[in-house]
Amino acid sequence: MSNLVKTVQSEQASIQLVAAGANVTGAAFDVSTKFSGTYLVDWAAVSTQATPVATEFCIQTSQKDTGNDTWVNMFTWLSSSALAASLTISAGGTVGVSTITLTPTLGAVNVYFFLKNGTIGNSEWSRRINLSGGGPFVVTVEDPFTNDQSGATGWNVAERYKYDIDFSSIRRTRVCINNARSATLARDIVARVALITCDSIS
Amino acid sequence: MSITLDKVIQVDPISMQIVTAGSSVLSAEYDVSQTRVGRVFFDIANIGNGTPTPPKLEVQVSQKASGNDAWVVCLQRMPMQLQGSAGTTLGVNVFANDLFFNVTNVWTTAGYLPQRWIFFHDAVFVNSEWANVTLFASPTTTVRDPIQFNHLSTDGLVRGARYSYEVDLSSVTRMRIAVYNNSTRGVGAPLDHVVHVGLILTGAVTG
Repeated sequence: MSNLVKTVQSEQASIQLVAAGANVTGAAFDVSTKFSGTYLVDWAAVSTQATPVATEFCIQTSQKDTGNDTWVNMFTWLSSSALAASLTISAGGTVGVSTITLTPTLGAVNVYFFLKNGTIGNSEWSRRINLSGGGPFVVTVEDPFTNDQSGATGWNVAERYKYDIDFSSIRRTRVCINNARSATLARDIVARVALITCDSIS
Repeated sequence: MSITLDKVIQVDPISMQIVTAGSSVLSAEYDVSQTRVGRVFFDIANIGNGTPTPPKLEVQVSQKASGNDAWVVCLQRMPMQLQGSAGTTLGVNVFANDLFFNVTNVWTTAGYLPQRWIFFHDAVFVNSEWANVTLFASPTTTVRDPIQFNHLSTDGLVRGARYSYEVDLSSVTRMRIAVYNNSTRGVGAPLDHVVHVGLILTGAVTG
């Protein structure tokens, strides 16, 4: 019988506000002994910037163990560039609760939305399951809130991504968040990048 | 019993060099009889002028343990068509460790938009380098990583690209890498390109 050892790594990019015009280049991460990895990436727009440009994400590898002259993209993608609106919360959203009352409404069922907490690390992404009321709207979410979001500000354009990467031929990786693709049309966003690795087989 | 991976960075199969129009270059062959998987890194830049037929990038394997009569392509990629702008110079001096620089004479083409690669074609060839554009905002342009070398205003600035591919080598014993810049296919014609190829080979160790 064989066993896999998997590790939830320290976040490659902790949850953070990335201001319009800013770039985040993650630290190089050593995967020289690892078999594979799964990146889980969260993104949300927290600005009402009109006709915004998307945020660019990339997961890179390098043919060398040191230096920054050989990074190359393995995966690169763009976030939504949809116009975002803030959501005012008037009830619910406390820890362990699965409903939250907000205005204006959210889009289609199952969309993600983002709750920007006054303490950024307590912010969270949530997924709408049901919606009732004619404004304010009572939103039922898939999972109960982890943190108290009753005083948070909601944002209606949020996304989550997952990428699996075979690390068999990779010795190091890093993650980049480019939120400066336009000098005038970038917008503030919040992002987080997590990584789970398969470390050994025995 | 545990399995560990032995990932070894090889000496560059094809060091950075100019592959002139009409020519090709082959790496030495690699014994991969104990190798499970490999990753090939292709860096290219068009230092010619005009619309090229992009060079073909290949990984080849052989069914025999020796000889050159049985090589076959196992991975073939034709990179994006990089419009050539030979003769275009930086126009300003650019310095090592810079992340920003001002260029006013070429930054109007789509080739230099965010996410694209550019190539500093230095008069001292070994100081040439690729850089990834993160912000195009004429005249100031930003790249992701600090520039490695000083470049003069008279040095060239052209379009480039970088690719990385994993190759399953678990059932082959020999491989080599080839770059063909010697034939016209579809639009354009071969133009001088700069090419650099890196390689990581991975074997498995049990213990």
